[in-house]
Amino acid sequence: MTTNDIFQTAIFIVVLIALAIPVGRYMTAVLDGSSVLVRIGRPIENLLYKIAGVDAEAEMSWKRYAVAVMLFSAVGALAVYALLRLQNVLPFNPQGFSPMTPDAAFDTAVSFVTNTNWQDYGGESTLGYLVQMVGLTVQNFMSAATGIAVVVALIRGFARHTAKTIGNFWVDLTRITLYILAPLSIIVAALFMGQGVIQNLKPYQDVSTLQVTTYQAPKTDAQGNAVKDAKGNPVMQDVKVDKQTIAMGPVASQEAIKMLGTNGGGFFNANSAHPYENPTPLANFIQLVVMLLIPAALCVMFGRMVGDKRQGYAVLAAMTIAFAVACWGEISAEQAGNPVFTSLHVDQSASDLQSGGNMEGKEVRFGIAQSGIFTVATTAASCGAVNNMHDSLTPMGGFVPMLLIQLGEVIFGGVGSGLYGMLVFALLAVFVAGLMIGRTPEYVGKKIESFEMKMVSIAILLTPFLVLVGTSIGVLSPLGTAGIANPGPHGFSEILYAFSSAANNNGSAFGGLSVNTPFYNVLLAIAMWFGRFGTIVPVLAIAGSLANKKRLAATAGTLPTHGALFVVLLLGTLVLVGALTYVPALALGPVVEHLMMISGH
Amino acid sequence: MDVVYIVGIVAFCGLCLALAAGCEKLRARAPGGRP
Repeated sequence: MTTNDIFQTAIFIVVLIALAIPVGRYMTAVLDGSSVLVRIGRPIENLLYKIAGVDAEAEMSWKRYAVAVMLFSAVGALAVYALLRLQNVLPFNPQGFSPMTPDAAFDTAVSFVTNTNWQDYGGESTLGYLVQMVGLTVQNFMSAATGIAVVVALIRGFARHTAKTIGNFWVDLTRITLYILAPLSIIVAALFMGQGVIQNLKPYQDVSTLQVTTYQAPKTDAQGNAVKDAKGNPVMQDVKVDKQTIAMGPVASQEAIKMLGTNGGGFFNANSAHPYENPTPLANFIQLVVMLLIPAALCVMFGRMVGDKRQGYAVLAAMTIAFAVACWGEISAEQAGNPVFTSLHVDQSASDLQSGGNMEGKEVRFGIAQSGIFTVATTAASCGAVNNMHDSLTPMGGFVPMLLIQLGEVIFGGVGSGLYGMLVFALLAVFVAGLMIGRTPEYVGKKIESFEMKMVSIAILLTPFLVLVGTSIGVLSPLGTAGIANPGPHGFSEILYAFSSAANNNGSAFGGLSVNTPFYNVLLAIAMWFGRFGTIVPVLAIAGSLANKKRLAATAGTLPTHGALFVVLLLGTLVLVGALTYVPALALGPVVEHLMMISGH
Repeated sequence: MDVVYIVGIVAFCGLCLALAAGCEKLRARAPGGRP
């Protein structure tokens, strides 16, 4: 890492933590109803409950909470599916795009409802404005709010004692959307527009290019078939291009919630590498901060809601340390570049005139540091937005984001899902510690018993099952291997990355794999759905079980869970579980590719 | 094909609800395993 890389990483972490503390305080006030904004917005809130027929005072058991989450998400998925299939007859489609194919619509609907935002299509060449706004942007809000609601329910499980209920899903969903996501999105969208992110409903613009480009293309007949000469070779013709079509659209509004809600689905195919989505280094820095702001703030909120701020800061410290280490690994790998190029006397050193290192697939305006931090942030969180192409990362540069996704995206993580994932690991850590010292494990004053550990096991083992079985099917089926652009270990990495990304609800991709086929659309949709809700159900079950228990006072024999020892224990558990689960698969992909690279292949 | 995928979404939801019911049953089970 260069001094510049270290400086940029340090600045980012300092700004993130400095903003997360006040946002965490505000979120706590919103969720307990003491915020001024909640009091002001009460009439609107009550009107919404009245329209929806919701009894805001009625509390829910964990099972009712889970049923509400599931039904709400299923209805959302059906609505997005309908919009995608009917977009040709809907308004605000100035380019006249056709409906998506059924399998692609199915994949996209599941993808956006599960906060994954895996995209097997190019936004600007597939979707009209109404679908982008009413279908995808709405789900960006709803899926993010659902994730936060689930973690709030889990925190209530820790905070309450001898209670049968964990809150009301509809009230949580409304308050999170109305007082947290919507106001922050408006501020962030305005900041993005100030940096040049577009926001309009204009048709795409044809502009004259500065120079005429001529290239050769195969000649086609009236039916669109290639014309061939007597020898059977395609007849080529000169094509002159003097116009370029520039895509327009309501980008800033979608971009704000895309980052805030760790959704990651880009308006454009190039995502945050597109100059209309992420025009400047400052816009990029804002995107980075906004991406991890709510996940970091949730840690602060956790400490405040359970009545011991130190518990929240311990989790935040563990996340921050792991994040800094991941940034070091990622940026070091990319800054080192490719040794084969060095042997060819290609200058890969950083200087005043160039970033140095591996700049393939990266934007010059962001360089190595801003691309590396973005890659780590987007995979540490369940965001999946990209400002550089992950398929072009060095093998070890690709190893880091893949491992971060496979660890369950708990290092800051997705909004809500990151913290509930980390708390599940915290329960596992205290259980392991309890086994070592021979005491019944406790966490935040709650005894952790066999039921909680069974639920922890389901939550931790389900995603590796989906990833490893899905990858196996992908590499063993001809339908799976047909999509590989780079055969060999990199092709294996592309499939492993795809299933890791889907099952952990990330959404980023190693771009070399062609996934817009019924085979991948269906398999990845299964991974996305069960990766999301197969984890949420046991987490809510833990919340219900914990809420029902008494809170125990800390004694001399209680393992402290707010100090450095616990931070190390938590990180150790995380790395151990991740390593034991995924090392064999990673060894076949990025590790082999790295060894091939350094041996000159 | 649309019907197949719509049924798929409903089935996904149903399976997760079944998981919730299974978790609840597990919770109700007496400590120490089966009698």
